[in-house]
Amino acid sequence: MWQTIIIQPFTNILLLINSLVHNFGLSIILFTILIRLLTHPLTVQQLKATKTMQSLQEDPRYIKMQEKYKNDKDKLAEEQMKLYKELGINPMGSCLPLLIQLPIILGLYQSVIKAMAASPLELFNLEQIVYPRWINAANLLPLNNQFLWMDLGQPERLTIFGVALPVLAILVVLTTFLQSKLVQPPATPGNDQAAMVNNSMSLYMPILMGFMAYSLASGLALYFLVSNIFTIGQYALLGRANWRNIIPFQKKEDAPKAGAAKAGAAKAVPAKNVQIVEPAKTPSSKTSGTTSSSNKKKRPPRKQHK
Amino acid sequence: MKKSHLLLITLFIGLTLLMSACMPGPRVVDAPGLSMDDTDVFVSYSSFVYSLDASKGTVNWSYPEQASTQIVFYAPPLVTDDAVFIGDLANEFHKLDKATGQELWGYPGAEGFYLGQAAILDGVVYAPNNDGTLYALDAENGSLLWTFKTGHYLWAQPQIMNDVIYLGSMDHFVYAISLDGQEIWSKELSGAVTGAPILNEDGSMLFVGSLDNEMIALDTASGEEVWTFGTSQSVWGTSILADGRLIFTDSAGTVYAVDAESGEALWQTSTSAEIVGGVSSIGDGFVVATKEGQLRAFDFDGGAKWEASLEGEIYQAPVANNDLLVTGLINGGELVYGFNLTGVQLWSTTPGK
Repeated sequence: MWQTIIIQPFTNILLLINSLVHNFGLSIILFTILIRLLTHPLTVQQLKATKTMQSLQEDPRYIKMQEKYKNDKDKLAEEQMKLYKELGINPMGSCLPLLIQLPIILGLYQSVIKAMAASPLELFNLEQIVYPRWINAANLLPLNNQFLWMDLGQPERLTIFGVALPVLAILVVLTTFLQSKLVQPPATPGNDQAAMVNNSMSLYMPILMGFMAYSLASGLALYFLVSNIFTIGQYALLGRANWRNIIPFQKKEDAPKAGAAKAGAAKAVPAKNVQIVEPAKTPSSKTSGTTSSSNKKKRPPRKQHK
Repeated sequence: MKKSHLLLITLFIGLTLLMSACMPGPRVVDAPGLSMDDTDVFVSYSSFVYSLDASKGTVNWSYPEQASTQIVFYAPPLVTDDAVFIGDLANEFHKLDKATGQELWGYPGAEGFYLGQAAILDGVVYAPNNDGTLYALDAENGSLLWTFKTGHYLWAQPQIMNDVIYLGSMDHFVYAISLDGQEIWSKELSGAVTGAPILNEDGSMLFVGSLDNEMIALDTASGEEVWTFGTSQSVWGTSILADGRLIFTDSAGTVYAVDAESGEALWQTSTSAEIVGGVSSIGDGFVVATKEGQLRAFDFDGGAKWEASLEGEIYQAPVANNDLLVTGLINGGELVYGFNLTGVQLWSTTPGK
């Protein structure tokens, strides 16, 4: 079923693109962009839901109930659900689009592997799933794996002055790092653990992806690279890229404000008067900053608020 | 250790495992490669090359001593009187001692996998590689003599006769090459060539199957097409010549016999199952192996002789000597099965299990 619904159509689309552009590297790039564009609405939906959830975590009512019911998980869950309902938030809103995207992205990855077919068995299995009305398999297969200096079926190395450099793997490491930093949300009060997870993932993911790009066929490394660049572009266009995470001086300038914002927002207004920040219109850090600057001197630290 | 650190480490390990599951392990997957002589069967599969006793299927030796995820073998071994030649997926070609399995030399200079069977003549080994290059190596010491570059993977065993090497490539070309590595002629076909071409007795005609649903006879002197026979599906695997009849299969499972001189159809029969490996000669008849694990034996007139069913998938043609037929399977029961030539199973084994 997975094969018929996802892998077969994806592979045929990839082969169809290849039959038009006659370049497998370019086909992987175009195919990745095409599939990621198709899943773009889901990404937007996911980002909106994530932002709403992040904003909620800055809500004093939310913070207060975390403190109040920290020893009663059931009651905390119950109160959280009440708050979600009151504010019209679907707690699964950010997971669902991601869950729908995951099989598509996995299918994209697997169809790239399938199309590379570097052995008789793999090519035979590829030949069996080609839609004959779309593609003349005999003329097209096997695909020409040469792209720029790469054999897309082999791990990539570019020899410069006698040194074989894994250029693609280096680019994958850089873009994965960049991507994970840019998509990392601003830290929210009481969420040190989440921040630490994010920071660690920013470190581990580039290493893992770099290792895979170094050791796997360069066709897959190319897919990783294009996918990373697309994600960065997507976040940037949606205004969700946190550039301050990678631009040091900007971070330094903004850091005190952001810190103050969190402190202020955490304890500022009585619960009833709190407005949930509209995520699509106002970046959360800025909003928090504004709140904090007006309340900073008056408000005691959050711990004293208990 | 803090809970959060534990969580992070668990998350990272889980992610690594998940991503590893997506990795193809050995970089490609293929069926076991088989060869045999009068006394031994040689099997290449996954991390090892095995020598098996042909009479019992027991392991004589395996190479290398320790399994490695990088060193993977699928190419059918080339067996001579005293050596076994085989390439791996780490782009290295090996000469092994036939009696002990000890490595005698290795040639690491290729840029692609070895999936095709090598050929040997007069102390020179001709090794086809996935980087599209045919490597001519000194069989004694493994030194590179010359290379011949084609446009795509080389999976088919080169054929050598009258000082000419005939090479089918996945770039849709057939090449005739001199023994010093110079191209004599090349002929473009409409499909890729996966199976080894075969020559007629005097070496005047070369028969090549292509993935564009055809079997083609070429004049070996000029490379010109003599005749073309259309099939219903792509032609994979090996063909045989028997009493002037060329016998071959297509992937739809049809077995064809055509007159080798004229290309006229003599008979055809359907096995109703996909055939990838092609045809193997067994004395007074031949055997085809279907992908679904059936062995079907016929006489040269297309009459059924016997059949046997195995659990698994067969992607390579069985190999046979005067007494024994051996086939390799994946995704099923055992890896290798031995039959006598009347279809009685003698042994089965999965070496290293």
